[in-house]
Amino acid sequence: MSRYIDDFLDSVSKEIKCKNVLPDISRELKGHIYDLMEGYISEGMSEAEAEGKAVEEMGDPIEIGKALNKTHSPKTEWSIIALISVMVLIGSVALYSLAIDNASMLSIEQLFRVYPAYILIGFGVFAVGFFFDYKGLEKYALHLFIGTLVFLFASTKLGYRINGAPRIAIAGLELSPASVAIASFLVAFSGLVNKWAKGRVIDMLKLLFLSLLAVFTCLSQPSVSTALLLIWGFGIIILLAIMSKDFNGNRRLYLLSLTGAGLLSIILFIINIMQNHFMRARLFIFLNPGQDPNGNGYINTVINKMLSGANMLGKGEDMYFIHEGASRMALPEASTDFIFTYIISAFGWLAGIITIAVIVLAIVRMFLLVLKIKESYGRYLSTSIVSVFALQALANILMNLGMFPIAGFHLPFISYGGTNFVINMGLMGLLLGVYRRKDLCIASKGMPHGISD
Amino acid sequence: MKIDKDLMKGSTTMLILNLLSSGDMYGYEMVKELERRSDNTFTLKEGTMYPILHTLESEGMVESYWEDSTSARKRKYYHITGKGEKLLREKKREWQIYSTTINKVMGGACFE
Repeated sequence: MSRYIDDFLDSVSKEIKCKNVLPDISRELKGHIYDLMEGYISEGMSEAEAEGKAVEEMGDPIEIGKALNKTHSPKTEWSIIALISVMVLIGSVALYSLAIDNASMLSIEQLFRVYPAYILIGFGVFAVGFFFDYKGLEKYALHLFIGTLVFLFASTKLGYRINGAPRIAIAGLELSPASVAIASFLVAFSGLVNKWAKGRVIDMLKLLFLSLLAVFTCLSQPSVSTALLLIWGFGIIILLAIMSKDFNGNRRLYLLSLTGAGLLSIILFIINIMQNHFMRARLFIFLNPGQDPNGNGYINTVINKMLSGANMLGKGEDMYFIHEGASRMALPEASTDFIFTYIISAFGWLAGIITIAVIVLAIVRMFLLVLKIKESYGRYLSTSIVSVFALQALANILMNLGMFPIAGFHLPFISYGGTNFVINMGLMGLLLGVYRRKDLCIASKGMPHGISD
Repeated sequence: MKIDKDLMKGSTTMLILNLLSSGDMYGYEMVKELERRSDNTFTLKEGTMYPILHTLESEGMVESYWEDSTSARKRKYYHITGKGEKLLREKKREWQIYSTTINKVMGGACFE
């Protein structure tokens, strides 16, 4: 009986490239046609007549299909891709200038041996994150979480150490396990929260237990910066879950517990640092580097000198000191943690301001993007990615300006550091991939799957 | 009297949001309700309405859900969000300015 209807729906469907919205759309349009038919039949038409008239009333199926296709097409956020590219460019220029400066620790050979490889791998990983359907990851959330814990634990036992932090190498490329762990923990935790955080106390305790396990494993690496980034990322994901409409628990109670847990971890953290004289001296020296200008306060002293000697445009003073007749760069880790200070010192404040502007713009754009994502798992994942990215950048910039303890935060996409670069590219790929799919699968609530009438 | 299609075009979004501001509705219901409220002057073409609804949904102005109706088939209802209400207020203000200005220029009756 419904030949007209089927023909109509087929024509509409042909225009829509994204196939997973089709059941939803056909069902909706079919319902509308049946309603129209009912109206005509009650006016006295025969069923066949009513069907023809109803389909005619719907209008040109190709036009409808084309218009719907426009709404349900993948969205690419070029502005963020452009901003990331600018960050990579700023990083490349800064690293190149460091490498050609004989006074620095980074040599051209060193830079060109690994950096292009990391850039290529980074873009590859970005593409994977971007095109891969992130929803497939949700099923393996628990496996991924436990796998990451095991991986982190194993790396402290099996890997070698640089500056106290474990490293492992794959095919000659060095890898920092903590950086890899941040990404997989965020992916896994988003999935677990999406599955468990519906309001039942036992489930919330499970999440708390797992997140504590992850944080303490990171602290034992030791990687304080990773632990802080994780606490922040996990907190944001849980907060979103508690505030979501599907949450059935006592919202106020959980919010209070979350705030309490946050405050408690900060207090415990500070107490822990205060009891450890070495840590205390190292972390709080930024407040008064003059106390120990050649020891713990060395980096902050150099930073302050470099910043006060920096020009608005062009190379500033106080970048070097003379050691055994050769000039040496005063700032250690200029290519990694302190690249921002280097940029200001070597290219002027204007370059620093442009760098900050690009990063802030990227964060704002990403944040606006995330607000448009409705699918809960995608929302948790993307929001945590943006939050961690923002905290990482903020902490690094403050650290470089001498306003934050020196705690190993990298400047995303700009600092020299292969693993971080690749991981950040992967996370950005995932973020834009989640956004890309946001209208491909408007999963309307109550949509009966696999049933058709 | 039927209204010229081009005249309708710009205000369809406003009309759809306005309908939804009085309660959740499904597509067919919206067409009928608009016909009723406009004494059959306005007809929402299905072909324009669904793409607009879906776009509004992707922009977060409306939300949708499937619900059992009294008859055998399920219906997709649309619900206006806070963001959608805000857009509606803006559109209404814009429309008021537009229509009073048109009336003034055309020298017709001014309903103020």
